[in-house]
Amino acid sequence: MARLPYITRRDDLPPENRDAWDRIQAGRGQVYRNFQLMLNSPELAARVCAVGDVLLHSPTLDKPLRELIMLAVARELNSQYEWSVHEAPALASGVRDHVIQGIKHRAYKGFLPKEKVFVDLAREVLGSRLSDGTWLAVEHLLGRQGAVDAVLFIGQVALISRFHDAVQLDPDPGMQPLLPIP
Amino acid sequence: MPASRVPYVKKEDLAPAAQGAWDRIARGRGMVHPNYQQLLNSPELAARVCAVGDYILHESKIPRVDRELSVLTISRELNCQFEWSVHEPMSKAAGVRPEAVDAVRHRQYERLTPRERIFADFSREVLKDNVSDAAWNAMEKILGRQATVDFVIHVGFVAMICYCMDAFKLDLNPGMQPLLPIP
Repeated sequence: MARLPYITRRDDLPPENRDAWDRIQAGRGQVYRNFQLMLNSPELAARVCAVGDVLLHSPTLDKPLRELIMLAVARELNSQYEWSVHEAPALASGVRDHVIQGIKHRAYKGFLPKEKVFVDLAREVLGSRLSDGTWLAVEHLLGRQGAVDAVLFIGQVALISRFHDAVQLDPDPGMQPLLPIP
Repeated sequence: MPASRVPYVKKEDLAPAAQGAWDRIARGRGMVHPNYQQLLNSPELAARVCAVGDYILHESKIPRVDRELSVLTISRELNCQFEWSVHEPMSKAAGVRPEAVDAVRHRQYERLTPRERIFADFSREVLKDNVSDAAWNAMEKILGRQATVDFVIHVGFVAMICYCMDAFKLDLNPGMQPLLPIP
């Protein structure tokens, strides 16, 4: 059970905070349940959402790459919600099932270099030990701005995942836990 | 020799259409610090990230002394030399006890007072994606609901900044002493 109330309607907010709802909706098309929880701090929720908005439209981070990185972060942080909500979209976006299962079980045999390098990036960034080899490979693939975006995307996904855990975001209806957590 | 993996961007390095990002960061912080000069290699993103920090610094009701203790805890847990070394003097100026600074430096969290312990433990549990009911309830009792949300985001945000400092290899400021022993 969530540790906070969901702000499910714009009118639940005091009039001076309703633009926070509007900014989130404008960026994402709707106010998802995680932001309904974050709206307990309305201005901050809108600003956090604005970071995600620009990452979702980064010219270098296409959807399959974002999905792959999200799974790698979810695995590193043992984020059940994040993993379970993203496994199907990752597959649908073109991430290979072999790669999804490999990240899940931390078995990277058969990964292509351009797949493995982003798993390495997520693990090394979250471990505060990004190697020269991984950095140079990512910069080579994405360019400088894209590489900066990729690092910040990892940080943002980690921030959102940690928020989900801390506030105990409820699973979506019918959602199955898909990540084995030790 | 600078170690930075990306150039430190100056305002004049930016395309005219992107210079507004520099101005937004400068307005929020009074200056554009070197870590944001690195992030400005992606200008719009840098300004939006900075705006999250601005809120935590200027609008959130998290007391400054508690926030600083938490920044030290996060820097310690993530082995972030730059963030620790910048914040150790700031923490003391904000009123964090020198004994508490040393306790966190050496991960001797049992030496903290009960209130310090609440902020340090909550920070560590957020980082581990494992916030206990006890830690949540203690924090909500102290900060109230809205500032507890702020505090969770603050921990995630400082972690993001630390990840960037490591990933882009932020150089220590001239004359800055490394104060965090890193294994």
